Amino acid sequence: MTPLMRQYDDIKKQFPDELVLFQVGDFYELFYDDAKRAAAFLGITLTKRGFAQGQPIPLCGVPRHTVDHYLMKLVRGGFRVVLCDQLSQPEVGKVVERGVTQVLSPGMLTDSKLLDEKSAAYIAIVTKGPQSWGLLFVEILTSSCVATIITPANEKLLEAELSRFLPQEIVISTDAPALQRLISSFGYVTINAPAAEYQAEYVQWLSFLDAQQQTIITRSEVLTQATQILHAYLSKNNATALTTVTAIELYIPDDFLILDSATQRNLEIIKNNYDGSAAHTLFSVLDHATTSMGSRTIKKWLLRPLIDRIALEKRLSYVEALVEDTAVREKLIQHLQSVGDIERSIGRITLKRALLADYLQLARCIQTIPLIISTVQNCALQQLCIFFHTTVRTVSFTL
Amino acid sequence: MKSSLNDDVTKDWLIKSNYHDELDRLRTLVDQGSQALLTLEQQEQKTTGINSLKIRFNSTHGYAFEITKSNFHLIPPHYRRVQTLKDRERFTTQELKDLEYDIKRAQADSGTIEKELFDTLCQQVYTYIPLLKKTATLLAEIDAYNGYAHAAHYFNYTKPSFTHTRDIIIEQGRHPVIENRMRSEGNECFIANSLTLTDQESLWIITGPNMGGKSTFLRQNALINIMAQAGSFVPAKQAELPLLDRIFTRIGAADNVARGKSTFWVEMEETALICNQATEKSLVILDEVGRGTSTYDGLAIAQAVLEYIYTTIKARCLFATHYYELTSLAQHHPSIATYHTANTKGIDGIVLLHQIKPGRALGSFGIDVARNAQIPLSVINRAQEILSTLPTHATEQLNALQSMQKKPSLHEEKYMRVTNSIKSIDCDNLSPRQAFDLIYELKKMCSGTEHR
Repeated sequence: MTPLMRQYDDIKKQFPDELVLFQVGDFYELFYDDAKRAAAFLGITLTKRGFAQGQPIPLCGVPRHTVDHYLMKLVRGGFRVVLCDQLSQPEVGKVVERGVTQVLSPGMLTDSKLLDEKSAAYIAIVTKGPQSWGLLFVEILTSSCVATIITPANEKLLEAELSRFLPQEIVISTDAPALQRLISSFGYVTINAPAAEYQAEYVQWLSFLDAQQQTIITRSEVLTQATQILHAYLSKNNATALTTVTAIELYIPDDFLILDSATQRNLEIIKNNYDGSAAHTLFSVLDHATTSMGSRTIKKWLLRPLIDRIALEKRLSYVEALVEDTAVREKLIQHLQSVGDIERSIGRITLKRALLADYLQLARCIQTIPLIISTVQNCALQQLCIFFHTTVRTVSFTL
Repeated sequence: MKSSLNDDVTKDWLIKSNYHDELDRLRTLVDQGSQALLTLEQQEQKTTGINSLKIRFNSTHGYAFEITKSNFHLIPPHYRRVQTLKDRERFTTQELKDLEYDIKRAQADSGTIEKELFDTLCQQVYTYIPLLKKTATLLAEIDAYNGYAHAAHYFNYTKPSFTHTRDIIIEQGRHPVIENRMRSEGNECFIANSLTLTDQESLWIITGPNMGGKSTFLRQNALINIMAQAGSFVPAKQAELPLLDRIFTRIGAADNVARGKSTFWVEMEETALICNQATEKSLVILDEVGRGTSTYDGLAIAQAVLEYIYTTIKARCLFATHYYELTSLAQHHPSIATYHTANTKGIDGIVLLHQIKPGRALGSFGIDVARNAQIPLSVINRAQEILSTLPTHATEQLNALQSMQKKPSLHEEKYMRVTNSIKSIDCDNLSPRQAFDLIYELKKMCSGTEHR
């Protein structure tokens, strides 16, 4: 066996379920079964190179400079992809050092080219106890994490709660095959995770949470398991993201207007029933936001309507102020265009995956905020802007 | 505010100019170096007499003078050969080496400074992350409010108000999606309909033909409540709404063969969820419950579910049904109201008005709708014949049907079509103009050979 293949096997062993894309010079190459699956899915040529145990090694490859295109196809097709890059400069007579630089799955994406800009990308973790379900949702790019317990352990209630988040992937422990089958039957992508176990690092991570959150989690078997699985999953696939999850917001399903999944389907709120797109849905009618983050907010509000009178009346008063004033609305559209999808830029900055473009976007955003403040200074939205003064004062010196 | 970040896409820089003195000085050196290279190139062309002499850059050998084969005899002795190509060679001199060294050092130094400045900036930004996250969330919300307002303004929505009762009062409500589609297709206006679910009328039983607007009406009321609780304006003239805790809809499901469940099973599962989870603060919308099984089973289940929702759960409920028998429940329960989708008889069958009116529908008009869908007339007439032999109440026997005797010819088909049209003429309500059109229409029917 060549040294290169030995290096490949070491890495592949850690990611048996994923497609490993292995950088060899100007190409990313896939071997063995990965090569067969990827070649069939992407419609690229499958060839052979070298031998392993007397058998030719199947191989396919994609050029490095067009890899984004293939990554998008693979991830949207439900594959999980491990990018393994050359970490040292090639030298004669030495094997180049290689290591895993990114694990990409539908819920793990951070790159704007790969993400669906109008949908939040949630990873869900589901655990089952004798009487209840434990549910945890984490959005990597905003480091937001929410969790809930559903009792009784009714399948319809679980399906309803999942459809309020529409997670990109659902992580389930390998020791719960029945649960895995159930979740797949709902139509979600499931991912195997090792069974939840006690680990010193987990306890340390949990200790950074707010005391009340810790108490609720440790008292609940299903939430303890869910957080353990989350910890293990992120440690393996995106350790930076794990450090950014510093709070787990606990809620009960009754905090929002409950729509069962049949109702969401019947009413075509987010997806229509003929091709699953947003065309001719309630979302498509109401989504007149300027930025993608605005569209995502509207989608979130439609999936999780409120039952709190004060909060609702506040929302309606802001809308009312803007309905009445077309000039303010038009100006806001103009300013929001220069703000852009700042939420995801900040997400990438937090995850240390930002590019110069993200910092420039941030600088433009900070420059635009005073214009937004003055646009709404005579209407109800003024209240929302009070917080912005601190941001502008603090951050503008830096950029 | 002055930003340090380079926003000039033509420059491969992180930090812009005029921000850091040393960085600017080094960049000038790099620029001067490039200028010096040009000067050197011209100077060497003159001294050697080789006009085609060019300075080239290559990542392994750096800068070099490139000279073609035909000029090899003119190469000065102090030139050192660095690379040989097919028809040309590359040379260097001490002067070129020194210049290259200066350029490379200035580039490396400016790179280091840039990286330091950028890293410092990144670290500073990193400390503000909680602040920035909250800012982004607020900006996204402002955008969402603006988006809502835009829709409300252009689609003529109204601000809903939340009452402290459980009443749902929607005046002239519209279906937001269908209304939009009709507008974009330039069709006629969407017919608005009102809803008043109060303690006096807490459950509506709605009857009427398919395609008559029942399903649209049911869905629009659910959508209006959802929009309101999502904080949006709603498509209605006026809306007074409660804060609902749950909305359930049971609307004709498709077979879920992939999960190995029949239509009826899915329907019953969903109905079970409603019976177990709905509260008096919920809105329940049921469309054709019990359709997936035999008539009697279906009727029995539909009535039992309806009674349970009305007497036990006490949820606000809209119940659309084919079972006209159920409308008699209104006589036994004071807060059950009956409504129907209005229609009128036109010359060639039924005209659906898409209006919801009090009272029960006078029959299901299934055959009229079938005719509108252009089912062959022989089938329609046969269905009418069967219907007339059936008892008026479904509770009587259905199986005393005579089998169909013979297949009518195409000629008979045409004959039946004409006589049916003549039979349906309402002589008292026909304008001279309509009568004239009718004569042409009948003439066409008799002479036409093609089937409609």
